[in-house]
Amino acid sequence: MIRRSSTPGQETLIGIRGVRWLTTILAIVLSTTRPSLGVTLVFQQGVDGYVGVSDTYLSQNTPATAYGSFVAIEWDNDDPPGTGLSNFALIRFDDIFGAGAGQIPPGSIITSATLTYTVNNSGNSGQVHEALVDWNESTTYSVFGTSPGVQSSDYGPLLAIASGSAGAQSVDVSASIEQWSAAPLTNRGWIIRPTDFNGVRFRSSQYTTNLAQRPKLTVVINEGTVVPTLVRQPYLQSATPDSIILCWRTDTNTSSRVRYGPAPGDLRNTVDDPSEVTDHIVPLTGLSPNTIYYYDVGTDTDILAGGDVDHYFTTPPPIGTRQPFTAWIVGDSGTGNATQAAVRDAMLALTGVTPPDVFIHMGDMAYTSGTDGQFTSNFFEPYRTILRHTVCWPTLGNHEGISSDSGTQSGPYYDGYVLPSGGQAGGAVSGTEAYYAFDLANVHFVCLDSHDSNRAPGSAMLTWLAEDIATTEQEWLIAFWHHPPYTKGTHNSDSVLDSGGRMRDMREDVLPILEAGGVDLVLAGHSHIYERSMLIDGAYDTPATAPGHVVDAGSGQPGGAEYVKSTRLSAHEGTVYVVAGHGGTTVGGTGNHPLMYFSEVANGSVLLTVDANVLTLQNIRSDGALTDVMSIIKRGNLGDFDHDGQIDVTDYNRFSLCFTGPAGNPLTTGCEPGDFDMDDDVDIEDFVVFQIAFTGL
Amino acid sequence: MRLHHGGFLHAGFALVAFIAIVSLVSAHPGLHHDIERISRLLEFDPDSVPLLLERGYLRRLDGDAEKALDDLQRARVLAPSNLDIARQLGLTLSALRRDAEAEKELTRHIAGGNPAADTLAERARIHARNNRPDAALIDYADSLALFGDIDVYLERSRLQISLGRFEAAAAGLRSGLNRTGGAVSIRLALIRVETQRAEYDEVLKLIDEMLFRQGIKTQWLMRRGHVLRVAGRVRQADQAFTEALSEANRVLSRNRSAIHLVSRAKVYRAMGRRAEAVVDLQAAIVRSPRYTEAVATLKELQAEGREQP
Ligand SMILES: [Fe+2]
Repeated sequence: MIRRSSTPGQETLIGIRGVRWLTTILAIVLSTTRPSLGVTLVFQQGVDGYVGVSDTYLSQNTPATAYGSFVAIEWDNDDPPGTGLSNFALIRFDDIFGAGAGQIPPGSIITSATLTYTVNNSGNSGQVHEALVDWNESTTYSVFGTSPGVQSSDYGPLLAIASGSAGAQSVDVSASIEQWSAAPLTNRGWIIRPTDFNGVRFRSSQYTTNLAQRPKLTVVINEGTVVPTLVRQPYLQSATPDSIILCWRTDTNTSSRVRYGPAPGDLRNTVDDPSEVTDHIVPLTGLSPNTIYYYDVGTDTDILAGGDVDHYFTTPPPIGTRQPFTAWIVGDSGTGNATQAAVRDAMLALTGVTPPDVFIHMGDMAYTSGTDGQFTSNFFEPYRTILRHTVCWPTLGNHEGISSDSGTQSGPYYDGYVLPSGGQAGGAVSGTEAYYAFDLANVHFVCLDSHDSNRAPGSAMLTWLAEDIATTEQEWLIAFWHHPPYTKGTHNSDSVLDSGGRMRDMREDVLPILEAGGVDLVLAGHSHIYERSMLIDGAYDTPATAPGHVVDAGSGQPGGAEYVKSTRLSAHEGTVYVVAGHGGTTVGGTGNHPLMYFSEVANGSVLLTVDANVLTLQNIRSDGALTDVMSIIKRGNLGDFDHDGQIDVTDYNRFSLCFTGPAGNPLTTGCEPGDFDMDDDVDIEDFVVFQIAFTGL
Repeated sequence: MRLHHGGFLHAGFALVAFIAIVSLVSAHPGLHHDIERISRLLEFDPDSVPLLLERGYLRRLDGDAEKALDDLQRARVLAPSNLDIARQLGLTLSALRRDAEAEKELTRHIAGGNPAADTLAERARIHARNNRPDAALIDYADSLALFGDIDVYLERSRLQISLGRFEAAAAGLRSGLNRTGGAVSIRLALIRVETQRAEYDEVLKLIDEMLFRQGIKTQWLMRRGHVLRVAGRVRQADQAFTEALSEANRVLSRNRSAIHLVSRAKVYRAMGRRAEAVVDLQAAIVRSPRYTEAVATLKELQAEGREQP
């Protein structure tokens, strides 16, 4: 993923931030009501429908007279001349705060506020204060405040000096507007007190000759700094037993902060990144395996999401651990339509409160062209409640390939994902995010790029693949990419013209490497159908045929028909191939590929579970029906009761129990691995053979 | 385990392959959705250069360079000075091996001053195909300066090696190795070049870096042994093969699968212990009868055995 900034013009405008780390709720409310960037609002009586100005002056000489209807107002401390009696100007702008058009919206950041007035009779400057008592245009000197006249308790501290020079003059009233923005009812306007004997008169809101000379309040809000909103909710990437990467996108450049900890109310760890970006990538390291962490994300001043029970992640167990996990397999989903949602909801209904541990996407996640906007609306948005707690491992589809380029790892796909090009999640270093590996529990996953990377023998990708699988010590090997090696759905894998020959290339050049490496399951999409093969091996020809390539033609269904392989990775013992291109778009095809055991032209997704030596796969149709189920069991060699690939003390103890225990069908007593001669009894003949296996003689 | 296996499969369903046609939507093999979409738009706006350019690009991606060329040539007539059309035309003509025309178009795009890495790499390939290695190397270098595509690093090094320029090949691969954070495909290519250059200590460094990583090390220890043997360091080579053997044994003690039996057979073979290699290969074939590599290696060994009784 490459960090993106918004336009350079916006980058330079970062300034004050208004909202501190208050509470999550407040921050979310503020961020969702945030107004747009850098707006200038003008309030002037009679202009654009605004009629909220009150202005008048208080005359000590005529204490019972109201001057609200006068076309000019004044400040003066010698009126009539020689008396030393004062006049005080009052001006207020009402109805300036609110969610209406032209108003200052709640939560706005006040960049500046300027009061402009036009002096038609110049004199000495005045002192501007916020008025602290209520008044209107009928108010007179006698009734201003609780006692006649202007007392020091009737106004606040000195705010600014108002010029008395002729013509248009301005006063900075930002502090008042900022304060009143938070509490609009405290807006009682300003009072201007005279400083000397030479009085000043300026045009009031009643002045009709030239409306432009009426008092004007100009407020600039949110210039360069706003509470950012989330364009992409937080999502998780590249999880390992001790690390994870949190990503999210904001609408403006901001810093990044993640807080995480053992409970939503105890986010005791903080990771900060001061760089101002819109695509936020925050790696968390030093985590404990198999541990749940809650988190929130935001900027150094604002929480933007999280801090609740829905925002969490669970680190994977240590590599090699036989801990059950579930993976959700989805392909060709990126329509953003109701079908995609139905497929998703069928999975959520089935899994209930225990969501899948990982989400593996087969590509074509952002129709029609994998643009940035299509990624947001057709992938990040529909899956946002899943992506915030479930890591997604993707592969590039041809629709993403229209806008993204694997050679240069650029475009929305590579911007959006952070994938382990350096072998960080297990396996060999690929040096690219286009193809990569990761370990999860006791499974090694390999992701290939069937669309845009060189697929030829000797290419970087195939060289990497062979190296990668030669070094893995995991019990299971699962590979995935976009273009299926076998399909008769909306694409035909036997046609070399279909999809630029990519399906043939993967079948002819990639499968031999994988099957020699003992691959157990290959997942793909692209063809809009669900297809699941028998246990097959070596079917590399074009067109693909079944004879000679079917290791087990049975159903693979649990309860006795499971496909059986040796423990750990074994070359050419058979692989199950799945096409899961049914995740959200129109399905089709004949579904009559000779290597498939089950095909269904209906939308859905696949749930994969690996529990120690048993792999199980279910097809969840979008109406909730489970229409296909298949299991592969890895059985140890005879004598290897716990299927860990070794005949050791644990197996010795199990054998002893079977040998000395009551007779019974070894298949039902769990004693099958001890029945070497298959006479349905664990007896002395078996003991002799077991002894040899145990001692290695 | 979170899943429930029982109760959801209908009786009788289990034994038959089942095709449920719930949609009558017909398939369009090879016909890309986006190409169709753009074709519909083009019906209303047949002279749209952006649409022709996009459809041409997509048709090339879809493997149909001939049709792509039709679109792009029409676009060219409508917008003769458009450099994006030159780029797409160049890439498409190159895919059709019409090298002279392709080169002309790519050059036009590159001369525009804002070349793409793939355009430069494609022109490099055309130069290389047409025996202009020096021009190819310049374009490869320019392409890699824009972006470090692993396959382009490998291609360039193959050309350099074919010209006998081992030092340049090694230097280029080394820079690629650093730039990609240690891509294993570049590492292997660099190991081959450095071995050819007799820079054995460099090779050993490249190998030893991998021995610190997790996972099965048999293959890397074998590589170590072979390099030491080529370097004439017989005792160290023997030591490396002995280590490879103990690694192979370690792995086999956890998993006696055909893959690891074949690995050990290769170690035995390298150590000259042919009989033990044959036993392992035979055992591997018993376990995985379809394992072609095991069968082929066994045949080779048996042939060697006949030659050297
Ligand atoms: Fe596709």
